[in-house]
Amino acid sequence: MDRLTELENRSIYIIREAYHQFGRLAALWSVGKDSTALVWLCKKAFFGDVPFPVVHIDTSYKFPEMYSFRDEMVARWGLDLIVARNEEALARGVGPHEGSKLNCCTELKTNALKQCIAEYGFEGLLLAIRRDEHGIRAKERYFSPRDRQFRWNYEDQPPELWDQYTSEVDEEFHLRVHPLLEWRELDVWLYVRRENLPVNPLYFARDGKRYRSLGCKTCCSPVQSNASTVDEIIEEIRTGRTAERAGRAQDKEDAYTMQKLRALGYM
Amino acid sequence: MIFGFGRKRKVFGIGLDGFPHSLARRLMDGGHMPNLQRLAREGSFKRINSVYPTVSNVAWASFQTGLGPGEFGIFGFVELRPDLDIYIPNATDLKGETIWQRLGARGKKVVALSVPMTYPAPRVNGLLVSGFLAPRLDEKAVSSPEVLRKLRWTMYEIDVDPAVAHRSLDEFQEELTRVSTRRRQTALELMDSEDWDLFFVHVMDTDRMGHFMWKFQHEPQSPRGKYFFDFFGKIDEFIGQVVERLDKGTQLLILSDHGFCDLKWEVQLNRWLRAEGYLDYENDPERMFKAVKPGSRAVALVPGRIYLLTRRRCEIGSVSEMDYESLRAEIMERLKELKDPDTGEPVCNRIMTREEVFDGPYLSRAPDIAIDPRDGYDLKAKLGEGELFERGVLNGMHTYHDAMLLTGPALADVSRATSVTEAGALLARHFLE
Repeated sequence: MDRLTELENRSIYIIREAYHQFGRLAALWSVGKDSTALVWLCKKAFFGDVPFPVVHIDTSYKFPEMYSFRDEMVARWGLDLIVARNEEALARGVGPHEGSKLNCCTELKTNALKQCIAEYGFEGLLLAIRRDEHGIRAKERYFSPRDRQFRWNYEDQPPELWDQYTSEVDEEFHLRVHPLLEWRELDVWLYVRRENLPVNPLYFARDGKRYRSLGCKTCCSPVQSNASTVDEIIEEIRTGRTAERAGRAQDKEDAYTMQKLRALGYM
Repeated sequence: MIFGFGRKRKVFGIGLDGFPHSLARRLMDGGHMPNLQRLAREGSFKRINSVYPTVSNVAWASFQTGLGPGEFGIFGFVELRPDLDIYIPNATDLKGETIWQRLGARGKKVVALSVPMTYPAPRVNGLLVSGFLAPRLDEKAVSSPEVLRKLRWTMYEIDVDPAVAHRSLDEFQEELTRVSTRRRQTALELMDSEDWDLFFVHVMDTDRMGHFMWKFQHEPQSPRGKYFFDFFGKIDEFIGQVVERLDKGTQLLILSDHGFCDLKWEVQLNRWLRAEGYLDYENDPERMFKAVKPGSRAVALVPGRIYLLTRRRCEIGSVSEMDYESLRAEIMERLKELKDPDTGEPVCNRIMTREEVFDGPYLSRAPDIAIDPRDGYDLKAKLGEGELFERGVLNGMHTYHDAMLLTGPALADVSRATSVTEAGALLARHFLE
């Protein structure tokens, strides 16, 4: 079986496991590529209809393209969307330009989600985090418990051996489930291509720049890139290691190779 | 010995690039390759098929993985990006596990010397030196840095510079002799110094002979003709030296990845596509496919790969899903009318849809039409002004149907192979089952 199909199968298995274990489950959907792939996997896991809500944590500072993409997808995929906004903090004027950015994140993301969980009583949350995103995430499990303060006691989490996911935990906790944990950035793009998934136009290069990951407009900066199609993004990620090296050495190598192929009549 | 426990399964493999079954037969019959002849009598010696598209990087990728191009995603030396820029795939683009990886995972030791499509060199359980198209012998071309030290002893070189053959055949002969001698010497050294279950040395030099000196076999008394036969005599000597050093339980395998035949014409398929109204481009060969004008519907890549410029595949693509099948059928039909300007013989032997030839997850990257030419008509892909039928320095061309496989008596399982791909798959299975 190819890697993508294997990843897909495993993710769908985990999503179905989670659905059967939790009375109230939701998927977090940031409208980015990873969580859009997650929502697609949820659709596939239940033959087209996602049987639980998708939650968009809305700081109100997202890119306009993200809101329009979100609304378009909700209509297209028939999603039960919950928009989680910390209205009280927004009314107080909390934002990226007031105080620390960390405080802004805590109020408009963490607390918005807390309020949402309290309001709807979610016991389990599906998240599209990947192990290769940050060092700390290397310690994540497929099923990672969080307490009411969202603290993650990663030294004391139940072991996962083979595919035995311990999903029963203290009532104090809600469980975070990570069906995409083993996916790499490249896998997500390969999957986008294979499944022909819609992606936010912000990911594609315009004037030599593109967004590699999406968040709030104020705290995201684009990377240098000319990748303007899914294929090119895949190529960019794939050759990323070499692209970081001095461009000149790479050019030389290519020139040499081409000259050789030309002499043999392959060009 | 109980259930084969402790049974030795060591194999020494020699890949003779582009060494045709028919030429091997002639050289053996003519007494030029006595060692090969003896081995052919003792074991199994047969004709096998290459792969489509018939070029070495695809063929050896196929051998290494035991898979077809649709399964590992590489269809030639050059591939097109959606913006019609070209790229040259290397080992990082090769999907599918290689025999080196599979054997290593089972604790088997491998030595792989000079096999195409192994650059950048992967880590292996043993030792690997990249082959064609590794640009230079540096740390990227070896499985670990200490290998470079070993290679310095024999002054190993990756490949001849084929551009030399365009300047002077004398210089080319000199270079080919040097590179090939050092390669064989290196193989013999490593054979003794390393610990291995599978040793595989790839010899690119036979292919270089085929491209630039094929025609001289027809004039055996001329100096160049003599060089041709002497060269294969040296290869035979090498085979003899290898056999001498093998211990009793070790089996020998010799195979080629495609055949060769006389080249009558280089057929420039892009110029044909242009003349037929499927393609238009600026006369600017330096820009390559970037010179293709919008509105074009098809381009060709070497060898005999035709890609329809669909909206899905390429940025300036204009062919819609709806028109795809009819356009493809039309081009395939017209290709039948492509004929030798002198004799009127058809150029194409088989004109195939990609679905006929390829299968697997990378089918969408495959050429829409794959052509197997008749012997003598090398399907090329030059752009720019020029003739449809051309002749140049090259005088031999690849064939699909005339590769060879020779196996020792205890490799009966591998001798069943009918293609390069199967030979690779069965060789891996020989170790793993």
